Amino acid sequence: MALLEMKQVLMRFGGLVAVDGLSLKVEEGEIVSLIGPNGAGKTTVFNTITGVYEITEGEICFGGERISGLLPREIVKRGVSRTFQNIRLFGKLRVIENALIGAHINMDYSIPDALFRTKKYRTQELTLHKKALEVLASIGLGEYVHEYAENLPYGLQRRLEIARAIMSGAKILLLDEPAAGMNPQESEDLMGFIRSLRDKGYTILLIEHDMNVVMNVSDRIYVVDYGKLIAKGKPEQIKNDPGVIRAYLGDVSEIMGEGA
Amino acid sequence: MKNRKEKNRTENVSVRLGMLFRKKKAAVPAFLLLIVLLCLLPQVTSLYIQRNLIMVGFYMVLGFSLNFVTGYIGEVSLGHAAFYAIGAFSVSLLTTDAGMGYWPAVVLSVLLCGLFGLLLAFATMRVSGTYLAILTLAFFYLVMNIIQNWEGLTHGVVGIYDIPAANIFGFAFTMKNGGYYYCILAYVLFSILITRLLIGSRFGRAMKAVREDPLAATMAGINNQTFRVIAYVLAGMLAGLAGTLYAPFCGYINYLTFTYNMCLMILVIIITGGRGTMKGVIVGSLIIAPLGEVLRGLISLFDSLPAEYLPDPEQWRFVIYGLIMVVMMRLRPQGILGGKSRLDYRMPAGLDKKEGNG
Repeated sequence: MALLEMKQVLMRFGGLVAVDGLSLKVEEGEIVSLIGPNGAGKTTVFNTITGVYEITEGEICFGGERISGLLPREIVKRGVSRTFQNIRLFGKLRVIENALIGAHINMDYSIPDALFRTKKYRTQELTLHKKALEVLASIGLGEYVHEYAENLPYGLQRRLEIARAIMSGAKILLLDEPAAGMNPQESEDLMGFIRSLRDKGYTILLIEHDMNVVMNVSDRIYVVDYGKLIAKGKPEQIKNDPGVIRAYLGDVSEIMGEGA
Repeated sequence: MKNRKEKNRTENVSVRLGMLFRKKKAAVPAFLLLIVLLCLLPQVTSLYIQRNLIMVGFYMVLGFSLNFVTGYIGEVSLGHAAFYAIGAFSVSLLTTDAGMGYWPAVVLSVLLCGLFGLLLAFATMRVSGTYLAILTLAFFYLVMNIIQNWEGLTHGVVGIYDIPAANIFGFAFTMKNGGYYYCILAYVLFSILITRLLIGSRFGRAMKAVREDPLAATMAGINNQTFRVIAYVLAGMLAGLAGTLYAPFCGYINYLTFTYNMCLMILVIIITGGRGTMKGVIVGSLIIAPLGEVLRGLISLFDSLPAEYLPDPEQWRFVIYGLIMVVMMRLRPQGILGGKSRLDYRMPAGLDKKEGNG
């Protein structure tokens, strides 16, 4: 059984069909990439999975249970967490506070617990602070825990977004263009980091434009264009798929046609 | 260049001061000393000064109250004096017409204000920004108009006379025995404690997350509305608590006691001091609340002028508030003590020092 499965999902905004009958499967422990030209509907797919949009038709299941129709916060609790294409950190809060907010769903002490600083409050806070420091150190933010999120350089802000998603205790991480704006060295590091996440037992669904990252890190790739699935398979298959080349570069025969 | 150096130096002083207060050995005695000094204050000052200190205290509690909504949730409320009024009227009616004891009346009034906080939070659930500010303003006028016109309950425009003095175990508060001063001092300390304990927990973090980015907060599994409601209820209760002391302190209240200017003043206090900080509320109310009196003093210097040329300090202080707001927004929008702290994040007790320094 797939960990995450989209079955014939249709997402319509008025007359515009942003996701058109898309089916997709992510098995546990896989790194799956979702690629496609700009405006193909990749981020919309993430928004449907995480419950930001309510899908028009179809079904989305996580761990065999239907999650489409649930509220975003309920979906996070089931174990699906995401990052954003345009970074959405809590800029005026500290790095560690950002990480702790990510772990919000793992705390359940009440207001009286907080007011009287009960044992429940102290143990939960201590455990999650420890976990936050651990996660931040593992992602290379160890020396920035006291810093304010908006003061971090771009690459580190992306990492903090991932750290925040991890803190929720999610099983699957949806990463929306994590390598955007990174230099080659940074994206190289990112690849290593994504692999290490998989080794730790996370399943990853990745949206990415950096083909170097996509081809090197993915187990399988789904290609969408105009909301429709146009190809799926292993990186080597995708590289040579004529449909994919057409979607990205246009129809080769059209350009070459006159000369040929 | 010189200017820059100067600035660095002062910041270092504030950082050093902050570090000092983080050390338990220094902070606990310093805090106790401060409380002792504050307790001794009414013994050595005139009743006039004491009265002003009490007013500062009232505005400080109101500031802490509004800080939950505007500082942590990040929603501007223009009608915060409504809760103050509800608390004051409720306690007055319960102690006069209903003949209840003072403290049971306080408890009931504070709960009532919490209920109104809940009501406002639900009423404003789907709006934000300017629309929300306007709704809170409407809430204020709604409450005040009900108080003015519901004669059967609130005595309408006549107001409530002879509100019995607040008392504790039959010991009535007066200005002379400092009862009101000590009581409001206790309320201020209570507000500080509540804010501190709550903001240092998941509740405070969630509120700040909602302020910074509501969508990202939702995606972190936070139910934004839950924390809005908590903030509004707490704010309502705290402002109501201030109101329950203000009514017996005045002895007489009517619908004109609580004005829109009051709402603005609370807002000016936390914006001047620094939204979302405790020290900001304290400094803001120390600066803004006595301004009317300071201005009165300044204007009295020109007593030799004919009376028609003398401005009315009660009215003119709002010109000063306006000016302060404009200057603050231009030069220091985060408030005098707002913005980012230069101190390290406070790790919870029990965490290894080494880990904390990462």
